[in-house]
Amino acid sequence: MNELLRIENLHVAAGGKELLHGVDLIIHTGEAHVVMGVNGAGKSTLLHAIMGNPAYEVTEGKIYFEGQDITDLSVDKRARLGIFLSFQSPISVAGISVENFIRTAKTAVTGEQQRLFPFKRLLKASMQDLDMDPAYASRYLNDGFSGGERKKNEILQMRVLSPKLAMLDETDSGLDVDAVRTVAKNIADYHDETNALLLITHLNQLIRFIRPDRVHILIGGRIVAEGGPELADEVEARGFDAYRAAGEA
Amino acid sequence: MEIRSVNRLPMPTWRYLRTNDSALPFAAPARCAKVRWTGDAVMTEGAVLPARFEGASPEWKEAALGEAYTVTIPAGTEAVLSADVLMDASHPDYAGTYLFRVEKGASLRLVWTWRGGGETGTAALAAAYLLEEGARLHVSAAEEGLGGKLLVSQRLVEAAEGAEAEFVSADLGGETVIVHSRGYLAGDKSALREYGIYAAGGTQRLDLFYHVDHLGRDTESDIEVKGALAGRAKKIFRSTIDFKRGCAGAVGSEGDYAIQLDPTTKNISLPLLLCTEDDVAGNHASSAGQIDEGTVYYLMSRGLTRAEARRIVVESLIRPLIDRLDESLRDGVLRAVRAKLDGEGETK
Amino acid sequence: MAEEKKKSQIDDVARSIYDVKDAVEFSYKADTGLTEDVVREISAQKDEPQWMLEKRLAALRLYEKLDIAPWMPDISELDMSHIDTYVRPKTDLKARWEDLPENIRDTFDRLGIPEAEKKTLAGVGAQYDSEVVYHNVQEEMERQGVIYVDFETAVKEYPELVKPYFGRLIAPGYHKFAALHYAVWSGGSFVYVPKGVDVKMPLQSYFRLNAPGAGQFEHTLIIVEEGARCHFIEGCSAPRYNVANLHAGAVELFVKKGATLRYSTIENWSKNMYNLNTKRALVEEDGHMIWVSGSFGSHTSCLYPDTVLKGDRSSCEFTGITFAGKGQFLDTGSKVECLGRDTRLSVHSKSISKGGGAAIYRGVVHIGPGAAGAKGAISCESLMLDNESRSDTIPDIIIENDDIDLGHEAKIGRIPEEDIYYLMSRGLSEEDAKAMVVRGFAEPISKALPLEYAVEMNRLIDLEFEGAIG
Repeated sequence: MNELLRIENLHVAAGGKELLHGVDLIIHTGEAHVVMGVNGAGKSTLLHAIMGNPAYEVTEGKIYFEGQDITDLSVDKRARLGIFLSFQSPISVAGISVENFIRTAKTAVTGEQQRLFPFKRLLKASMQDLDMDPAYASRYLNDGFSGGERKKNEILQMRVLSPKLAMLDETDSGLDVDAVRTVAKNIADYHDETNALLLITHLNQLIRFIRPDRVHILIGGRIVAEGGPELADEVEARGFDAYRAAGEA
Repeated sequence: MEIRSVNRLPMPTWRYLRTNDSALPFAAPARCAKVRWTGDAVMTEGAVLPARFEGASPEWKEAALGEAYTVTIPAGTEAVLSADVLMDASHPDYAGTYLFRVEKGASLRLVWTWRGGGETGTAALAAAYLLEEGARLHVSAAEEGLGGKLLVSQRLVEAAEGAEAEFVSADLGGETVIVHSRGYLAGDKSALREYGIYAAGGTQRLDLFYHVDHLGRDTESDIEVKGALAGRAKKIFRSTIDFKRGCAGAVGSEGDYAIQLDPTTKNISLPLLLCTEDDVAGNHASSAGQIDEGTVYYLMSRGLTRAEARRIVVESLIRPLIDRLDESLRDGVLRAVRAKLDGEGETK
Repeated sequence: MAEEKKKSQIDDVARSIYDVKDAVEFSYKADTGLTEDVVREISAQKDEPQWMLEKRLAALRLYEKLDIAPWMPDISELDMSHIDTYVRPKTDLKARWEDLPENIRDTFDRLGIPEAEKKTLAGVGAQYDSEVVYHNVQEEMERQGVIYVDFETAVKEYPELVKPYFGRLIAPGYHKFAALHYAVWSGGSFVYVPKGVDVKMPLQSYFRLNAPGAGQFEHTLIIVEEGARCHFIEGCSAPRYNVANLHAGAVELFVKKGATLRYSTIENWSKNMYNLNTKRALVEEDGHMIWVSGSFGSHTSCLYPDTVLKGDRSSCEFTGITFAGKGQFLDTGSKVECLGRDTRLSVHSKSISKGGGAAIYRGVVHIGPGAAGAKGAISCESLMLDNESRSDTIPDIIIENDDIDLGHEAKIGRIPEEDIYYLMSRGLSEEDAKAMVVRGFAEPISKALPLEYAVEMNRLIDLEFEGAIG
């Protein structure tokens, strides 16, 4: 398997405060990784740092994607390389329809004009898979969407943009039971040997669907434990207490 | 009485609307009362206002040249002051010019009380408040029984880094009330808040002017005026928030909420937002109109009379601002508002 | 063939100019600029009835008397002492398509306007025969009794319709440039929609651009009779290029009982234009006036469509967007005067400032003492795209009775960083992300426009962003 993402000794600060204190992580194409940890552990920070959020500053360390150093690359260039982040709270843009937006994004990441009708078909099929009302395509991006609708809209974008590395930040939270199933199934369907997943989740339901190759426990801005899927079961049974001490060390 | 133009809009608009400034009566104070101070502060006679003090008009700035004091709150200290002005039959006027220096980290809480016997007369005040780094200023003002007087309150506020000033004034009495507030948020993270409460009836004229420049970074301004108009009362609200280039992170908002109780009231609003810096958030909101009949109906269905219901609606509008007044003034202002509303409105 | 046409046009123009010069040379070369002789000459050239000449001369006297309003943007670069050079029929009809500024040609190209039409739109080239292309529309409208002619024709052929309305809504004394307009007006459109007629197809004024001097001091008069409906689109789907740089048109709109008029404008004058235009609508009982206004071009603009809600239950909607880029000072907004009872108004203004441009919203809503029952909402949103630009909001709300319900909101600020980050995380470049947010911001306008205009507007926005950010 090819190495897709390599993070070396990553230190990240925001608002003058260091949030990640030296994280190392390697993801190969075809793998699914899960990051677990208590609130404020730095999970979202890690994902945003990989995506290149300008609000988070990399103070030390490197991020490589397919062997290329992307530490200083702008967000849009990372997206074009095939990195995707499903936001916890996606923004809304009044006046721009979901369809128009995703088509523009698809054109940007692929570098190819998206022909209208093939694109419409692709979007419609993806929306069906997500159990979304086709009427959403012409609604304004996230404008007046419920939390659940926004989350589905993020997964819809992931499917249409087909990134090499899909990072999902608590995409399952705020969804009802049926929606979690739909979203989990869509993520599982998407994942194959040509791409990789990096998930933040609290729900084992999602983990059961996805079957992660690696689980990382992030506490206090450090990865304190790593292992196979069995680690998720352990956390579910015993919580994070056992790892806290390590994080504070 | 002479008529003079006051409170000229910093960015004028169409002339035929006659809202760029106000033509209001002018009468220089002649037989002046003296202010009675309580509290502790270093006070010296005489006051030199900063050159940029403009006032409502040059005439009014000059008219305020009566007694003059410079009040200094030394660095790191706290002071509480009350200024009580009683304008009686033998001294129906007032003129005062003040310079308040609130030094580094100092704090001043100041309460102005204007009282009179309902006769005519003029009160003209010009005050400059200069706040050094981290200074705090809270000024409350209320009036009582001013009847037919002409009241002109002019101020200039300059705030250095981290300094914060708040003005809360209840403008209830006075036949003509002119407020002129000019603020300069020079230091980073400085703030100016201006709150006005009114209940005007009869032929009262309220001419309210606020103008704040955001110069420093992360500065904050909040201007909010709320009240009720009855009879043939007229209110003009001229407010300008000017975000100057370089004031990144500044936040400013202005609000003007009026309840009009009679068909003969006039309500004019000119809320300006001027901006040459992109990293700001400027907001304005205003509403004008009659009392919400649905609310009145609901309250009446619980046994309240129409007048009581109306009073409650007005009170609920102005209550948040009354709560910002110095505690010593709150009950009096509420009582005065109630008395005014009982005597005014719904002439039909 | 084109070569020949061009030549003969230049000959014609040259001669007529020579004629005018001959007649007026002595008096107008004095420092006043615009003289009675120039005005008489314009009138004579148009072979106008006496009443029109008298109106022109009265307006000229007013023009000389009135001052320039102190709140107006700086127009000192506009050489008022040589106003006659703007007034004259164009002498230098930008003879060749190739001479047009590139950005204007680009816009035409992108719109896919046929070559012949492009040249007409740009004020060059062959005569454009609207009768042929729009024959079917014309025929249908004529059957319904709709009159749609250029203004000179209207003055001659329909004096009974023109005379009572001309100058009634925008009096020459409205302001200095209105007076100037009435002294020297030339070209424009006249539309009369008879009672009960619904004109299904939008009427577009750019069909009429080839009248001499049209597009600079044009007069537009639209009368929509009781219960009738009409949509008029002013200006052009593309910018007009003018040699002179002052535009002082006047638009008078009469919306009768129960009638509806929609008036749309996408203005993209070239960036040397001083656009001092005046528009006013009078709305009778149950009438409805809709303004859709996009201001993108010109060096300096003063434009405030004014609606008089005279009739009971009359209503208006104003939706406007102003985009001020480098070197532009666009002072735009709206006016609403409520006179009748139970009127309704909605004013939605958006502005964007960028690259040192200044976008000013100036507005007034005046609810008179008799306008009981008025209800309305005003909103102004301003977007600052950098800290070199300027954006001011100057609203004036005058309420003279209590039986009203009026809300006003204004917002000023920039595109939140988070929004840009989100869009960039989907692969959009920074400029594309900004352009997308701005297009979304402008969407209420593009939604209200016919498709080809909406497309053009979005392209105008995109053009502003192309290569703008390093």
